[in-house]
Amino acid sequence: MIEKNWDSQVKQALSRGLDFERAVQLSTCVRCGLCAESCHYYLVEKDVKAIPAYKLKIVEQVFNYYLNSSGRFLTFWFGSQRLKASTVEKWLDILFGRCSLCGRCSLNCPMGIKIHDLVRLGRSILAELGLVPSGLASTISTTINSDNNMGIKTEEWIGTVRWLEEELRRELEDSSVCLPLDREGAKILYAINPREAKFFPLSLLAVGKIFHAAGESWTLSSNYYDVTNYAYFSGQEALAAEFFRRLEISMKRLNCQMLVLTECGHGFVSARWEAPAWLGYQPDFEIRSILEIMADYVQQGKLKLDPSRNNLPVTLHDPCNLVRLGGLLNEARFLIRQSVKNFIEMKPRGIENFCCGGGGGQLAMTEFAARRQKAGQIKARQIKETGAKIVVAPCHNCLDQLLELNRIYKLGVQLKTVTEIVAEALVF
Amino acid sequence: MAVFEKDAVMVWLKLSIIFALILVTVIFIIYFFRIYHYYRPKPQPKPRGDVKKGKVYSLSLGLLPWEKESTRKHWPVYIIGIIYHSAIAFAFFRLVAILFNLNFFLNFFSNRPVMIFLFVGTVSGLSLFFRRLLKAELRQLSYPDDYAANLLVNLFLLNGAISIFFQKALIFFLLNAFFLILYLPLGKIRHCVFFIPSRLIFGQYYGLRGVLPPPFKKIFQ
Ligand code: SF4
Ligand code: SF4
Repeated sequence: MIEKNWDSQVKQALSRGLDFERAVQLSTCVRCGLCAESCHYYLVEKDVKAIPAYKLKIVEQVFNYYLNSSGRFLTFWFGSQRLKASTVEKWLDILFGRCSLCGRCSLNCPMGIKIHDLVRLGRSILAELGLVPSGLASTISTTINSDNNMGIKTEEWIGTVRWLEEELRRELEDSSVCLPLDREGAKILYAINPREAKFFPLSLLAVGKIFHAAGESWTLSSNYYDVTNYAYFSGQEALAAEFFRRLEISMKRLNCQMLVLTECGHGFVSARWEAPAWLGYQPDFEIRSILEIMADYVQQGKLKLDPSRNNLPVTLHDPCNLVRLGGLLNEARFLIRQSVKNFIEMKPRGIENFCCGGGGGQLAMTEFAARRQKAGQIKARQIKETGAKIVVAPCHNCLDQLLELNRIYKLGVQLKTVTEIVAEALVF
Repeated sequence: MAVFEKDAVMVWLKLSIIFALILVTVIFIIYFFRIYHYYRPKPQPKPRGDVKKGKVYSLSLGLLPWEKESTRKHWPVYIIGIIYHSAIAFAFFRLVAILFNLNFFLNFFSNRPVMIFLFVGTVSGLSLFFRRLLKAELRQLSYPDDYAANLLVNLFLLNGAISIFFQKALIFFLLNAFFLILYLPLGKIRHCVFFIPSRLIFGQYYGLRGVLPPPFKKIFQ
């Protein structure tokens, strides 16, 4: 990489991305190394570069150099570094290539440092320099240029919905059932992951069944329906706000009251938790995950479930963004327990569960695919140890990674969303 | 103590330490103001959990060793760390008592059990030093400051212990304290100031999202 003077851009990016909280946390690490074993990358690589504190350290060095007045003295003693070509290469390899932003390390840091958030700050500086790895950059640019991350054309999407509607009618033997599209004034706007429309329409069919059984007023949108937000992974917050605003536009256009998100970890974190800070205001509608909605239906007696319809042993993967970073600790468990006969927990589980390795934009960054698959070993081992035949993962991103792990590590399991498991147990 | 009160060197040393404490406090305040410059009011999402409970948990039960996998897996390091930091607190209180002639406290922090505790603290500090030195990955993670800060603090504890029974060694304890205080804002020891704000930020983040505190039953699992 050619040596360049990035000083002004780095300062600009730092002052844009930094806030008081991040600055405090960048001054707190004691390099105790206790976070090491919480990271799946470190567990499989045993390389210092995979230790969360190392990832934090390389961001902290730059923070110290540019913004801490003592940082320019005795740089080797206190650790500060100007951002130069070699640092940038290291940053790209480590911040993008060795972190899935799962936040497991953050939960384990005795000092309470949100390491994943500071890795994202580092990524945002790289993005400011135009250095987002090509796979991730191209997914983002597809989203900018079309209205979803897979570049699905509107007519194609409408066609898929119509076809699924036919399927649903056939399956339920009820011609009045519909998959509503652009229904103005519906209570719920359901945002999907384009992956569902393109490759896994069964999850859309399942959600249609559930909304129908619950008698819900809901709709899909013909455009601006994408729940994913890959700019969250690259740390490009202005762009992330733009992507969220698209959902807001659909909400306004269709005059809905509640935005319900499909099973998507980072989509949930982005819309539910991060968007207000990006936008500078709190959206004036409620944002919920489909898991919360289904759990409510079951509790209110709107869905009748028969667990004997799912007899195979089932385990649950807790998506990091949904559980550890999103707070949906119980919903998926509750729904699965109601829908299957034999539920086996992974060890560890819940907020301590391991990342599948596919988060943080890893699935989009093909340049780091081999490392991602290797890091997935930990999840593969967890799955094997349960002896389950079905793995439920309430996140389409995780499902993609788990599909690969299933093949590579010969797990021999079926993969499903919670919606699918619930729909299978549904009694009309 | 009376002997030392009359000793001009000791008086100057005490005054220098008080001056160093004031200086360091000012430096920290300036540092906080500088980073506070980055403060941005953010609209808060509708909470799922309880921010206050998150913060309280973060500074109380959340610090217990069984609450985190990292400390569950490393009990000895956790215990050594607690002993080390408690010993530092004792040595610091002893210093304050000496500086301000707080005789009651001075008696409390100048007896055999405290001396033994400060020795144990020194040994704990040294074991952390060797842990850093001998583990290849920790070595790669560390700066010279990490070793220097540890040794400076260990010496502070050792001098604190020795000076309890050899009053002539008090001058070394005070000299050591002077340099240690001046070093505080420069390197990793500043975590003594940043620890609480950082844990509060942690508690706020996970409390708001309803991730922490964990459900009651988990705490006692
Ligand atoms: S656990 Fe926290 S304080 Fe310790 S090295 Fe890791 S990030 Fe730093
Ligand atoms: S966020 Fe996850 S992947 Fe990234 S360093 Fe922490 S534990 Fe490792």
